[in-house]
Amino acid sequence: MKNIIDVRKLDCPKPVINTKKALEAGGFDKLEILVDNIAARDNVSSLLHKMNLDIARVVEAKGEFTIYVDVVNSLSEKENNKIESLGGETLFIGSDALGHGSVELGKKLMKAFTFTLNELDNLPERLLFMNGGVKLCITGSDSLNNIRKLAERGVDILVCGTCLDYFGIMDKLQIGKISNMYDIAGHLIDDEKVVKV
Amino acid sequence: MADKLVVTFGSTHQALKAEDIFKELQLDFELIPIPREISAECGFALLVNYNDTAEIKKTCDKKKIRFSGIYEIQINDGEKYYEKYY
Repeated sequence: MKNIIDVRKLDCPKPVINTKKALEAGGFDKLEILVDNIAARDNVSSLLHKMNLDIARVVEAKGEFTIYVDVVNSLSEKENNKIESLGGETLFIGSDALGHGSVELGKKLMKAFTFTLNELDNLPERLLFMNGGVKLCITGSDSLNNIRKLAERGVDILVCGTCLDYFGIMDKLQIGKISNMYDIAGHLIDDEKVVKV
Repeated sequence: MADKLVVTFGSTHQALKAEDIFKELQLDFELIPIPREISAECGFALLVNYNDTAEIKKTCDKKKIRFSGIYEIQINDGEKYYEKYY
């Protein structure tokens, strides 16, 4: 069965949310997603990629795009044979230490926290790193391996560029996309669930 | 034979002290929360990528690390369980 999702004329992040909802509901083997701008095309494509689905083709006509996905074929080719469940949470990490009271303990807790995220059944969808939090993503960070594992499993990692620059560690960034206040504030406002860590 | 060991401690401070010593010894390990299967209490443990339980015990004794348990991680029918050795 084929399912068509029309997310034209919808503002970000609605196209992504509607696509995700349709995929979670399932019940079809082919999917066509209609979008009317490049940002929506890219965001939806990135979601499909994260959910382990291959895009068969993207057709452009008059500035609108149709994304064709062969759900059955792309899933049967994967070892995992199922869509890995992303929990949908966005975690805002504003420090390299978890909680207040002791910085030393906070750093250890953060390391154990990032380890444990990998052990949970539901992964967060996105991690936003700001201020001292960006230090977790650079060379020598105790949490680097844990964050890298999350990224490899499809978790979106955004790191504040202003913050990297402030600490003079831009060249030491090991994982994540350099991001800006527009993106980060956008996710804080638009994402379904945001948790400040 | 297990691939990995978990070392637990009586207190958070002892776990952090052991972490420093393991780091000095350049062991391949990670600081983790105590697995729920071992204890319901909140605390740190060290997950060691090493399979020689006796050797790790010897190292802890030599360095005067006061651990409360050393567990081997076993996989049985895809289920992880922890077998206590010391």
